[in-house]
Amino acid sequence: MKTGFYPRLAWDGLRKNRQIARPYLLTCICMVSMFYILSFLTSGEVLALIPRGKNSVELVLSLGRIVILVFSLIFLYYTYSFLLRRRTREFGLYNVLGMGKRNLVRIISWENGITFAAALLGGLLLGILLSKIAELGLVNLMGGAIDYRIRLDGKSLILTVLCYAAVFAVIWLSAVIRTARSSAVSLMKSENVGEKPPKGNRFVAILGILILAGAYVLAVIIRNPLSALLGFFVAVLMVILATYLLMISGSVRLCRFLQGRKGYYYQAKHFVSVSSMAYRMKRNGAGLASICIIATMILVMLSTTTCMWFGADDSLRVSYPREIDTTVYLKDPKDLSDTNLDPVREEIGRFVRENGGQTDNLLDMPSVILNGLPQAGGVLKCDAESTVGNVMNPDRLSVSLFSPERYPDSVGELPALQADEAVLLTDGVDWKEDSLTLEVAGVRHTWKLLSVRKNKETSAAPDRTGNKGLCLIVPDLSAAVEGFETTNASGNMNYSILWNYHFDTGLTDEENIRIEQELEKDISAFMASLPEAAGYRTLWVDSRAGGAGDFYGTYGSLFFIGILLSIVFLLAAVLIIYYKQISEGYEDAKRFDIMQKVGMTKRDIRSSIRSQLLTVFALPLAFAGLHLIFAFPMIRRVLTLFSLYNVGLFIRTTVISFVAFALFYALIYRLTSGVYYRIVSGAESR
Amino acid sequence: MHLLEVNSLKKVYKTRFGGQSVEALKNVNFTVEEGEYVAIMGESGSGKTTLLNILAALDKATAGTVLLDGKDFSKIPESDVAAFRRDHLGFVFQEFNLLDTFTLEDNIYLPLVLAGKEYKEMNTLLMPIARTLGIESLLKKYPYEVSGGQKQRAAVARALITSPRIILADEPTGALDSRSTDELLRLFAEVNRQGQTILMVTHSARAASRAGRVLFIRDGEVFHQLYRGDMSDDLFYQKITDTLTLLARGGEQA
Repeated sequence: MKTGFYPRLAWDGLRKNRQIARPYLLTCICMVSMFYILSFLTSGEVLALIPRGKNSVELVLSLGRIVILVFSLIFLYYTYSFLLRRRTREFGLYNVLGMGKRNLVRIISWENGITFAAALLGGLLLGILLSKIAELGLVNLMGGAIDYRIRLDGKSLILTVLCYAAVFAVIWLSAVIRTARSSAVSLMKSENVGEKPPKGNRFVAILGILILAGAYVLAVIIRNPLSALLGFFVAVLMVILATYLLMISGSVRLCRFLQGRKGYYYQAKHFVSVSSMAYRMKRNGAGLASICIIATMILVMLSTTTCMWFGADDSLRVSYPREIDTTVYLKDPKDLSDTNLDPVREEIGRFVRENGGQTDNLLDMPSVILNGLPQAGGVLKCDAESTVGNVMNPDRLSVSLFSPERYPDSVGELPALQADEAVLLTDGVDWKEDSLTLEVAGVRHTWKLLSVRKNKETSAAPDRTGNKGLCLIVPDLSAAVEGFETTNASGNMNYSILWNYHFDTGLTDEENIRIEQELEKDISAFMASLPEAAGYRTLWVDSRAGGAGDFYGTYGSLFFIGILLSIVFLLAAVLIIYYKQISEGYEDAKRFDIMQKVGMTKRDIRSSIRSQLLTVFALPLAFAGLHLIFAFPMIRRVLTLFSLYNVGLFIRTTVISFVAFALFYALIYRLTSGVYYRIVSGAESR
Repeated sequence: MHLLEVNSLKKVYKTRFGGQSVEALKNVNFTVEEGEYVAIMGESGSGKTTLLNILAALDKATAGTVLLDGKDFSKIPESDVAAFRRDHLGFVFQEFNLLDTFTLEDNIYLPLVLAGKEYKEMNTLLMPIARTLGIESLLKKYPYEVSGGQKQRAAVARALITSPRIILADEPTGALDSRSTDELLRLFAEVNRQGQTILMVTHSARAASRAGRVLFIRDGEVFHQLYRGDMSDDLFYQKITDTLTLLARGGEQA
């Protein structure tokens, strides 16, 4: 009798609580299988199927795996403590009937053991089944050749078992500690005895509003994408905190306010729902806030990763404006003269033609590039000291000087420029002065600005730090930097002399990748053959086709992981909602019973439930939408780091993600409210 | 016309798979007149809870009729039963059945809110009742903040506020201490004096001794009834306990 006793008690306990235990087990299974799938996808065999960007795929998916593991730990811990709390009474009864703590711990251990075994078995089976589908999806996304061989990765299996053994060990340990600490009486106490209605602390509510406002302001005012990354992190933490404060306290205040409006409150459809919401918000506000934050997470993830995937082409085109990008650094502005550059132009043309291509859509722009910090009176301080260490400084501007002979198309027609006169094209900068001065180590050059033009689309090739840019068309590039020190004391360049020569060859990707490598060799040799006085320093040749692998690898795997993680988080949200409905349903069942006796009709009950659930469900969704709107400018700026400037696309992906999520959310709402209604109307208890 | 008329009421419970059937009410006949205060007594299992549930339209009779103001309960469509109960009947329960999410005031308003009344109107209705029951100062409190007796008084107020044709009270003193019991019974008598019809189920002889008439139920039938006439509470109490003793001995009605 002794041997089977505890396992049987544990099994009975799980079965009797199946309404809660089953979803928990399902979540465990899904987490395990998701982890296995991600491990499996990073295994060598699968990576071998991916034609390009393997390294990025591996990196992104491994990071995703860590996210899943950490999230599993937090979330399973949370749900298990919910499960345990619901059962304290049962344990209390065992305790009173003479079971010691030691015996209770044995029951809990068996329960955890059974759950662990079932989760692992089910999770791995499901994982192995789904891993093939995931593999097909990923390989297909990356443009690899798919096949229908079933693969199994032993290393991933072992890793999954080990990681989740650790997760379950933590959950088990916490359950044991919690049971050991509690007393028989506290175990016996029922879940809600004469609870006070919450007051809804006004201070906390105001604090929540202030923090939220602060986070929103932060999200909107940060302009520099790199500091946006940091600012985003801070803002996210603030938003999370504010959401919890507001949901817990603000919602109680709101209900109190509604109760104060007698005309509204004393209506059959609001009366019951408002009062019971006010009553339970304090406890359930936390659940709502969690749902809201998870919803926001899903929305941000989905909208950005889909935007990146569908914007990968755009992004590629911004980073590689033409099929072949040639960039040459020279020593002196004088070296940018056509007479000096022409031999190289001819050599590039000759080489490309010889390989069957053309040099179409030429982008031929010799320029001088400086970075400066704006001072009063239209002065830009361009010393390397003040700019090199200041990449993160949102004020930093990159200034490109062009000659009237070759300048970006977006500048438009030029007036005749006298010496010391210039035309400015701004990109995201509001330039108010009518002159512009560049200063390097005390030496200044000033131009009178004949006209200041604004760039609508960012095309003036802002540097990769996302700094805002200025294009200045000056009559003479050499005169523009005359007297400027080339380097500072520590050898950093104060300005650089740059010649961009980009063109389309009209060839295939493979040929372009070949030309990229051979052209670099050829031109390097050609430059070396030129006299020293020509001033050629270094040469870079890039091809769009060559860069595409990394782009699609990174963006594709981000897209993939975005969808996988969204599924995981969605699952979590569903579970939280489901548990919320169940626990509230049991609480409310007695109340609705009383109200029926006092004369509430079934129709009243249904409409009251609908009003209540709708408010409770709409709240997190509305908040998530609000968060998303305010996160929008910041995410857009972070996306510019990935050379994604297509705002229209981002708006589209955001709206589509939101609509899709809202539809799914509505579906969950319908399903779980059915469960709730069954419990409340007594079908479950009879 | 009688206010409430119960004719040959019968209720048979069947076990779920149709095996045995239990006859909870055999043949119950009685009437209640406007302004009466009637107590129904009987031991556990005598069928008094079943009777009350049928009178409250919470349960349906197997045979027989219940008429309120001549209106047959069984003729009321299912969808209107709750509204009928709300508009014509008032309830007082042993366990008070106040909602912990509402203040006492809101608990009392509940049936009126369900009936779609305006706040102003509800408030004017509440004030005299609250004064009679002595709970004016407690209206803003929540059920967990007040004593059992105070809760029951609020429950009585909730039953009274709809001006029901009849109040059905199910062991209203069952969960109260003796002081609160006395207080509640005094209030019931007071309310009855003002013209309110009350039907109370109880097995406390003391509670029953305050009523105008006591019905005794045994084995699903009205076994005996006692009229107070001009007897004092104490004398009536004596009569009731005598009858109960007789009942317990299993003697036949004389």
